[in-house]
Amino acid sequence: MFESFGYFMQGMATACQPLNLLFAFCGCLIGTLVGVLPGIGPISGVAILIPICATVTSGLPADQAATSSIILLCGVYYGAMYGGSTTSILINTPGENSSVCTCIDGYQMAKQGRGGPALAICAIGSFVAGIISVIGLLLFAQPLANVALKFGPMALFSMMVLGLTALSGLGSKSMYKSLMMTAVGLILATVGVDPISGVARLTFGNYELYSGIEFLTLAVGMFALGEVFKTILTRDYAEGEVIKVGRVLPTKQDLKDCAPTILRCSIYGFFQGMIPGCGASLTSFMAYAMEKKICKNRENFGKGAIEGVAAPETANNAASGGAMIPLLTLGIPGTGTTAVLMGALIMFNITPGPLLFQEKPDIVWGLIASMLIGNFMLLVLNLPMVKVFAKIIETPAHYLVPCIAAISVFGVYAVQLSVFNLAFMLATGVLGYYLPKHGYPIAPCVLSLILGSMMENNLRRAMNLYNGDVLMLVKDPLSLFFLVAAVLWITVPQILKRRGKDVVVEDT
Amino acid sequence: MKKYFERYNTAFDRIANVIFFLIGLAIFIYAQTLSSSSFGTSIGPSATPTLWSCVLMICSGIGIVVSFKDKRPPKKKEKPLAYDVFLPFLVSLIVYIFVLEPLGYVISTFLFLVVTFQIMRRGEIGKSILIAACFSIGVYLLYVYVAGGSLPKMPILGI
Repeated sequence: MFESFGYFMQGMATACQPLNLLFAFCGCLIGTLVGVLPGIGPISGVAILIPICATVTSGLPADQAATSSIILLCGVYYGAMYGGSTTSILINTPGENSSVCTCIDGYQMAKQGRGGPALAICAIGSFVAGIISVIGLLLFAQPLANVALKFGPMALFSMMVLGLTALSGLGSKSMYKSLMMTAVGLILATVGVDPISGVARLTFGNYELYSGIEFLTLAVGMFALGEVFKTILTRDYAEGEVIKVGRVLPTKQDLKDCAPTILRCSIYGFFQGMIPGCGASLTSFMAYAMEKKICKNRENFGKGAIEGVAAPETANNAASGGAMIPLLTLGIPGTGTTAVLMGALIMFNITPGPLLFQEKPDIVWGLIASMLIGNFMLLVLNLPMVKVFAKIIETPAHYLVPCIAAISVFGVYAVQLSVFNLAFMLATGVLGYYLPKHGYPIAPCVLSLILGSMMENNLRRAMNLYNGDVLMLVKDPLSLFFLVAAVLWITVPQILKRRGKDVVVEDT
Repeated sequence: MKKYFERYNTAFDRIANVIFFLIGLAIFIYAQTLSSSSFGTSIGPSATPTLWSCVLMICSGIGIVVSFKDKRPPKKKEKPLAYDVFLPFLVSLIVYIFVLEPLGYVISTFLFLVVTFQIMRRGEIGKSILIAACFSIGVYLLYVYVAGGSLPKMPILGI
């Protein structure tokens, strides 16, 4: 703990460098805009900004470029979480899936002329959740990374299987569809020249495929273009009438009423976020349901209770902090957005996992410290600018949507300099609309593309170590533990469903 | 939040599952042409494509059975999708991607934006031209001259 605290203070020094502060500010600002604007969500926002970050930081030393870029991208992640609540409260249209619950009481509050305090409590709740997440990271990240360092290649392979099944198990309404998309991602990860044997696999003589399928192309195509197509096809332009914000600061009574809710939901959200597959949407829904049962003011839930706004917004921000633990310590992203963040880290030659804490403590602790700074910036940025962001909701979608498509094209071309990649992005964009529409989640596909090569390397290392004995997968106790957990993750929801229980899932 | 096994379009599921199964089968057959071991190691480049294609075939096989067993009537018609906007937008995007290098970033992006602004909503042509010009020239100048990046140049003028 004390060692972690020492590293954290060093991380604070890194995060407080003027350039990093600027990046954190830009990230939070862009993220809030991403959350507020129609046609773009946190995943697509982060995906689009990866190539832009890579370009802007190209003149910096490698480690500095990586730290600054990741700080900006994480700022976008948190900012978008907050921004999504603005549309929920002011026009009853959730900016993100995680803000669906915020609509229930937030919009009622806005109709009663209390939109300002509702927005402010979102910012305050998110800030407290951010602080609790950082404390949680200080307590758990280093010990977990130390344990993970002892894992052999077989256990690492099985752990990645668990990570993929966790996202598949909780990330879709249909297990087989989710596993199918996972398999597609794993197959895409095998495209290109095999690094061990030098054999070209699934390249069909196309030299553009020799270096493999680029994560960035797939992520921008499926998430960003997919969302653009969805906005156009469904005319999802969020054209509701914006309710006036009015007074922004909450009263002392509001703060007193919300304090227990914010504290409970911060802790709950953090731990739930640590579980792979339990993203912000599921956590905010569960937190709202929990508070509706135990909160003192529960009879007013649904009628404009400020606790009903604080609960989901605090929980979703805490969950995004909790989701950093499996990502940074084990290299297992549990949600779509953290999968994209992991892809970004890999693009900057940083492999998330236990070794990251040993090899690049300045980057990882700088990132953790920047979470605190980012949340503080969100608070400072959002309270005085609530009315400005409320105005931004009214940006005409017919100008915005083509610009998002143009930014996607620019981002992918700027990094890959290849029309082939643009064509691939376009094709995956079309799939990125049609597949999720019919229940085939895309996050497992992108996550599998990222984890695929690591899984293959670990499997091949393990097979060489144990002379090709496949049974070591179940003879190794840790590996067996992860595989049993993976099987349970898939089977338990099925059993519950067969017994007639309702099983809620995270939208990925 | 949605519940498990919400109803989806079974026709789409049937076609998608058959396609995924055929892709899995094709990759499985292809993987058998790859070496099964390399440099004396017990596992070669064919192992993972074989394994993952089997997973894909099993899952899509289950999908085929589930979708063909589903005899429930199709769900209620949903709100019609805006294909009248989407298809011209998609065609514009395809054209944009393929003229990006020959026409250069500024001209191709400007044309793409003006056309798609009008596809999304007719009218306000002057405003559309102004926004498209600001976007394409602004991004180009910032990226090429400030960030030092590289984008396709304009023909003839070479800037």
